[in-house]
Amino acid sequence: MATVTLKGIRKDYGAVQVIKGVDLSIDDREFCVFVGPSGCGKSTLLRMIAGLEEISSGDLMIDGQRVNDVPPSERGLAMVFQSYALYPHMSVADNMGFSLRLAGASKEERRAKVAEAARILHLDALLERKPKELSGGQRQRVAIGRAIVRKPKVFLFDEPLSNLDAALRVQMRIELARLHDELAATMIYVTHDQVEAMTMADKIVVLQGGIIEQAGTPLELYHHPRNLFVAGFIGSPKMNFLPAKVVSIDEAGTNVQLASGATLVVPVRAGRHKVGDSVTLGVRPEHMRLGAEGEISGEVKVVERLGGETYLYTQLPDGAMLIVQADGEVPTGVHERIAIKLDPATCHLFDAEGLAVERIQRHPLANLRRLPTRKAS
Amino acid sequence: MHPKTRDKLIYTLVGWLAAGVIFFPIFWMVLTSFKTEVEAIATPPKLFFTPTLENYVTVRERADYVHFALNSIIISVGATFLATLIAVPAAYAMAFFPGKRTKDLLLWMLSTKMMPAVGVLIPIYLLFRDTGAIDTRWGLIVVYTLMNLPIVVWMLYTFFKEVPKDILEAGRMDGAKPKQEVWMLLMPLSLPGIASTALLSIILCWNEAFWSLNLTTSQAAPLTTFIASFSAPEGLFWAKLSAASTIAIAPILVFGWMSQRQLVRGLTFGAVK
Repeated sequence: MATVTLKGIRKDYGAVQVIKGVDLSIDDREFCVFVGPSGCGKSTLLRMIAGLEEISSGDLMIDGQRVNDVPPSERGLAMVFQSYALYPHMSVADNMGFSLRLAGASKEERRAKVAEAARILHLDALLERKPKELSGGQRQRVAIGRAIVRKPKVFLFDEPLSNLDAALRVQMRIELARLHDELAATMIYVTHDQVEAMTMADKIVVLQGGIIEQAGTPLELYHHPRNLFVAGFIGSPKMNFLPAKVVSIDEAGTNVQLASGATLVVPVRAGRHKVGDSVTLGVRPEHMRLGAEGEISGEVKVVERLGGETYLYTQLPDGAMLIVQADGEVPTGVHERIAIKLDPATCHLFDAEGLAVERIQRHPLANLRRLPTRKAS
Repeated sequence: MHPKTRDKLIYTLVGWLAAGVIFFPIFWMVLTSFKTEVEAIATPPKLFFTPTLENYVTVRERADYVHFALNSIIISVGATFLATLIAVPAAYAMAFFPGKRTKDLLLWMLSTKMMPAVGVLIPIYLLFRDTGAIDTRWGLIVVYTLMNLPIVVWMLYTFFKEVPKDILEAGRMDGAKPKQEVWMLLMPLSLPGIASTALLSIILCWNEAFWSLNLTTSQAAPLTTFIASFSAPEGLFWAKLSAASTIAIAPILVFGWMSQRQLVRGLTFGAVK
């Protein structure tokens, strides 16, 4: 059992506020991912949980106990660093057993626990090697092994995959997800890569400028982003934003008119917006359809063919650029004019302040956890 | 000739020339030690002569070399050990927990080295007199420790800065207390740096003459005092002085020669990374 609760957590360096009051609760065995652009405070927040940074104000609770002033090693956490931070002068086995050695564990106990962790991570054959004799992926596994050996309540990961090449990153992502399931531990993971966040998280926490923009399941953030920032940050390629005007509001939704003159009824609840207000319509590239005619049209400027799908970078008459995701078989070329059909049910509406207007229907998968059936610990 | 080859040749020549200039006094000293007193002061200087061991015999008869050498070893190693013992925690704190004034503090420490030692001779002498430290090894060890501390701290600070902070933080997460962090992680990782700092400190102590001449007479006198005793009021005996100097620098020269790889590696630690 390990829950992590943050209450009004702040961090300032003199006059500069880095974390501006964060409230968050991470459930037992949850895989929680902090994501955000660089400088958003996600690593600082993780380091505060780890005990490597002092908390300026607020309460940090682990399993209901306030641990603000508890030294890092006594918080029951283990951390995997971006640089792996292996001890270069020690063998893999010594690296993994270092915490046990410090805790005064006997040689036999150390050997047994290291062997167990090595088995989980397939490191058995490498135990006598020094870190410099290992590949990037192996080093990463040793760093994770060092964390496993401590049997922590909570695992902390600080951008652990960012130094690996693309193929290895995918492989480690799968391995980490498997480990999370196998160890049944609470994990907090920091990344700037929203794909990592989407694929691994039970809960994503989107941070910007030291505050939480939104926290929720990956699909909740994808289908119900709270504001323009989250809408633009989650999803790849990023969501398209089109300026629009409110024409009418009724129970079916809000009727908006685009710059092209086309109108569509977005199924959202009546929010703070009024008829005549300027709003932003958000449409994901994958929700746009090519057709003989559509709400908007433009000229294709760049075509990116990935095989399975094609991205059409399209310029609208007002100069704005849109990304349209089309089928891999679409023959459309550069400088061709295309018409784009919008499905109102997949459109998002943001008011003048950039806040999302609540949708009438909640997406059926919005509350889905990544691992719905978890084996008991 | 290819411009690159030409440049390389020029640099090599300049390097050799500089090395030659630096080495010449030592070479001349060793040469002089095998001459007679008359040959030693002959003008023009003689490059070819019949070598004699007479100076070494005289030097051995006049003073107990081993006594002085032992003092030199005990004092240099003792002072270096003490300075390192104090400097490691200081440099650790400065490198990994810097405050607003850490850089100023380091600069100030180094600036004390700019003050001529003679400026504090009287107060230190009086302190030594009152505490009974004159002509004691521990007295010199204390003075040499203080003398080298700024350089040792400064050097260790730069070496420690090279150690990734993450590694120490990983240690902290693993449960290492500050002492264990320093002893089990920081020191093994910066061993080349610590070794070259210690070597430099030993060399500086070994060659120090000002304090040893002023604060010792016979009991605790190191080799620098031994050499100085050959410039008697009756005049300078160049050949004997050279013989004394040669055997005085011999141990540290051999030591330096043996550890030169370590020394160079340590001193270029940050540069080649």
